[in-house]
Amino acid sequence: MAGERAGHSLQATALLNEAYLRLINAKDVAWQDRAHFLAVAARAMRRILVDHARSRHYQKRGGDAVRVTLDEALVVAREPDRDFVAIDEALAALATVDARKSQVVEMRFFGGLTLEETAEALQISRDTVKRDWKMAKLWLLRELRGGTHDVI
Amino acid sequence: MSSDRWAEVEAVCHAALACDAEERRAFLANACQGDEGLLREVESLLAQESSAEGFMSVPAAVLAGSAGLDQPERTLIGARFGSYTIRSLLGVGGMGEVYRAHDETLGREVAIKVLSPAFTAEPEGRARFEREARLLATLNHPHIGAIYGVEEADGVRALVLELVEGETLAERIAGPGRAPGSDAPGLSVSESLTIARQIADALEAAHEKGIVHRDLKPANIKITPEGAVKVLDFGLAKVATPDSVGSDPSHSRAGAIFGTAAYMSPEQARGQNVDKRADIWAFGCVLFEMLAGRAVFTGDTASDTIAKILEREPEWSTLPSVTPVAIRRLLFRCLVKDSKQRLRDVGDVRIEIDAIKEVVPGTADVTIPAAVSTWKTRLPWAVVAGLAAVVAGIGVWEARRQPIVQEAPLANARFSLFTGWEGTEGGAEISPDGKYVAFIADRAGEYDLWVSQVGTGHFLNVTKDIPPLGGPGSILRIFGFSGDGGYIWFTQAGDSSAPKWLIPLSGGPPRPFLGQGAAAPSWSPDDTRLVYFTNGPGDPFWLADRTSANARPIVVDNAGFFAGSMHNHNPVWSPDGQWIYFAHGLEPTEEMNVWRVRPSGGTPEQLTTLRAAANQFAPLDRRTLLYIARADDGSGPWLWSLDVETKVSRRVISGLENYTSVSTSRDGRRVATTTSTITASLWQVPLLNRQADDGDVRPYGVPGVRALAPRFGGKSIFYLSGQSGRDGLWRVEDGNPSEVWKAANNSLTEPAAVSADGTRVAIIVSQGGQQRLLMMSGDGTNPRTLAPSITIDTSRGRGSADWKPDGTWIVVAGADSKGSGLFKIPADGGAAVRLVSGQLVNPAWSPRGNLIVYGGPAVGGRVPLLAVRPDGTRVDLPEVQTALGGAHRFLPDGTGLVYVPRSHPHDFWLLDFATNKTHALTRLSYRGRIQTFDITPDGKAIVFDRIQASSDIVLIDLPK
Repeated sequence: MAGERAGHSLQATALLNEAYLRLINAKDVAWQDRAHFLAVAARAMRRILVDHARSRHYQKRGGDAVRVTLDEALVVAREPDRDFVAIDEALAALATVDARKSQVVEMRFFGGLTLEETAEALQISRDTVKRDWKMAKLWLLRELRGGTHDVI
Repeated sequence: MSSDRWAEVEAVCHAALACDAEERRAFLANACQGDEGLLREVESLLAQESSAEGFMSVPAAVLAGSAGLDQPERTLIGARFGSYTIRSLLGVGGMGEVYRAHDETLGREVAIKVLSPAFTAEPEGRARFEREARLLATLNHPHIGAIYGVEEADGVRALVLELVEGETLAERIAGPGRAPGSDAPGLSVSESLTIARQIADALEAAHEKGIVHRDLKPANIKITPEGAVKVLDFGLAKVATPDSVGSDPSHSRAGAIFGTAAYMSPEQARGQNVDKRADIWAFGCVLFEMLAGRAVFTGDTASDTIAKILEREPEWSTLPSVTPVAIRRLLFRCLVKDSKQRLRDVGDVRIEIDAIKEVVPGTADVTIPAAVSTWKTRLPWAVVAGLAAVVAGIGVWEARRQPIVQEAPLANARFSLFTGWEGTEGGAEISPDGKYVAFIADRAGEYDLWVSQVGTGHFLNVTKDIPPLGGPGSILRIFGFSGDGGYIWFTQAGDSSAPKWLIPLSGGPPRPFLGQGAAAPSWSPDDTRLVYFTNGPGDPFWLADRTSANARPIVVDNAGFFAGSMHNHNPVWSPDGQWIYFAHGLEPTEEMNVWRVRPSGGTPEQLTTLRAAANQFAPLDRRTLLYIARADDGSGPWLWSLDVETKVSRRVISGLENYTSVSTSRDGRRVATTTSTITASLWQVPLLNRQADDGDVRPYGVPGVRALAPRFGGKSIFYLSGQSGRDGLWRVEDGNPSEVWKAANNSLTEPAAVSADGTRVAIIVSQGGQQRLLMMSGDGTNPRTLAPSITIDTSRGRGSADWKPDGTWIVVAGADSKGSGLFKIPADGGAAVRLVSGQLVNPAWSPRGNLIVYGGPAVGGRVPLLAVRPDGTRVDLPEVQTALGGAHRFLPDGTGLVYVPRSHPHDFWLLDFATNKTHALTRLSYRGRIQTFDITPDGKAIVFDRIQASSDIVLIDLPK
């Protein structure tokens, strides 16, 4: 799926394996075509990565860390695209405004699909994907900027 | 935001992105001519442009996998970092983790703020960073947290800062230690001023050196144990990020996300140039918050908050009444949205505060300058004849009232009890002119439709001479007013598919109206058109003339919208006739949400993501929709209000009563709603050779004032119990009670499925609006989800799961991706196996393990009993119809099946397998609805619950 990006670490491979196993075990899903498969796989990846991040997040907040204030812009990863939990929530919010853009982000970012693969999965043109991708990123960045992603 | 609006925003953005920097300003001014909202929306999105390039350019999986500073607290704590020893993690801030460390050279404690590699990457960034850090280091002020230096080691860069002990201002505002003896939130005026004075001092010193904080907020302000104020993170926001819009595109990777939206000045929110006046704004926000006890601009999402900052005036009424006029004036000047008109020098602030501190604060009347035209009303508590309604929030009314944008839609409303009758009333509908209310009540002994003119106290039984309707609480509307208010339409026998009749309000015989299958008609506000849906696969919508002639389908461009398994219910028009609101979703799993579509068809738009059986709606005005739904955890149903622009839902009334219906008059000034409080208790009746009667019934004692849904297993009885509409699972074993599942985790609405030996229990919990099967030990330990691909059906039956007596399988009614059906699931985990397809309910496994009896698809309130073998082969049963929601259980010796029949919903009957005949076991009078029952393990008695809903119809009058 994300074949064009080199440099997978062991951890990334393990996550992909888990995604693969989850998909394989979903026996009742009828794979209509490759596009459908890619879409479902991206969704599975998103769930796995976000669940994984959420559980790590809880660990991080416990123990020695002093209870930081209930402040809105509180826990944000150093780079915004590392905070999967926040992105997941922002994506859910985006989905109520524009479902297709949310799907584009899910496929590109969580599924690692190329523009062409995303276009195929959503049955739209490559150009449309590009435009959607652009708008979605602006919207998400604005949403993440100072949004409430505190997981207390 | 509507989809049309969004398309507009998109188009302008794309075009603007194609312009170069100079052209863009002109283009935007032209494209957004006169539309301030559009301009702001577009600008706030374009402000992200420079960060967007690198954002998400690497897929998540790779980011997750890349090692390095992923879990820094593991790598750094205890380690040496230059000449510092890391002690502990203090917290996480906007730019990176902050640690407590010990300076080995100077022997003092410091704070170390580790910076993201992005900051250290490019040489240009690094040089700029160092320049700025040097400038910050020259700030030497008692109220400013000092920068000691920059340290670099092992490829990690960090700022070394003064370690300031004590709590932050945010903590102080939120926590105890406020004005002693007062219940009011916020700090006392004198404490607020003392703190503000020191902040102003700090700002003045920094501004003098040309340093702007940019990120001033209560979390950044610390109060030392000695009571001194220290402002932290001065200027770091600028130091650590690339320049704003229009800068060098090689700064592709975004820096940290900084700046909490709540304290951003309008120019910051627009991504425009920022100078010291942004600090003045933030200062105003902080002072306001100290006095009022809560943030001046806040919202559920960043966009919400930003919208308020840009468009709304602060709620001056939230300042305590003792706030001196001079302070109010100061705040007013700090919080001016146009930075050119705002107070520009912090020195002025300092002078103002000094002057005030010499004067005793008075309680003078406040005159707010004319530019801000809002006024406040404080909401009285409405207590009416035993009904206490608590309305959340305080409404602030805008001078112009269309559309009404309010914090609390029912602010200032007057509540009155419309019916306080014994028994059950419900489903209240109000006529378009608000003068009449129609509802269902069992006052006359059976369910009838009643009408009353508000204020007359005179009630008319409309269906007195017509066969009964069936009780309230139907998901689908079964009666209502016609568009001109002259008629009431209704369906017979509570079967929403049955033909509709019209009965004139002024009297006269009913006449036929809509044919079989059409359901829930709703007239447009101008009374020219009618919308309804046909009850069948997909529930498609139809638009017709007001007389129901010329019906044509409403066509949507979403192919799966009317697919066989989807349900669409109860369409309702918006007050301007532009939209139709309706419930859409997978009904059996209660995943119904509020959607809307244009009457002309097109793209349907989703408005809620509650997924909790939202089914009745009533618009209040163009922007607000009231509806009934459960909460995500299964509690409720409650009354909610939805702002269709922002898509924010909130519970409207907090209290213990459930709300089961809502209807509004055409002008949105009168609301009719049904409240209900439920009591539940357990009873027992013995199985005798004769029919048992009321004299044989005894209470079945368990701890708790409320108990329902009994289930036996081994030596235990399990049942649901709780308070405030939230139930958990309890168990009594050998006389010892224990709470097996706490209601606080997740409110339960279904009886537990208990294994025959009582050692294991399966419950159905609501997780994010979906019902799932959770298995655990009989004492509540080791919970785990079974068959996550199945969502459970709880809408029509009770007890949707049962164990095989040998404990190896559980049968459940639910749905997977292919559709609804009965499934058997291995008790120790594994995939579910489909047994039978269809919308079925309430499976019960026979004691000998060779038969599963369940309820078939309900038609008109009747549920046929069907049976199947565990391998899926059908078995014929004699014809038995149980009541909707009625349960059936096997006798422990397997010789028969006890059930509650449709014909006698207050009695128990037996289907004897030896003779295949049925007969009545009891002859009881109605003392409450029987919802769930079980047979004692010795087969000698039936233990059942009795649910009594005392419901009343309440009218809510809003000011005109």
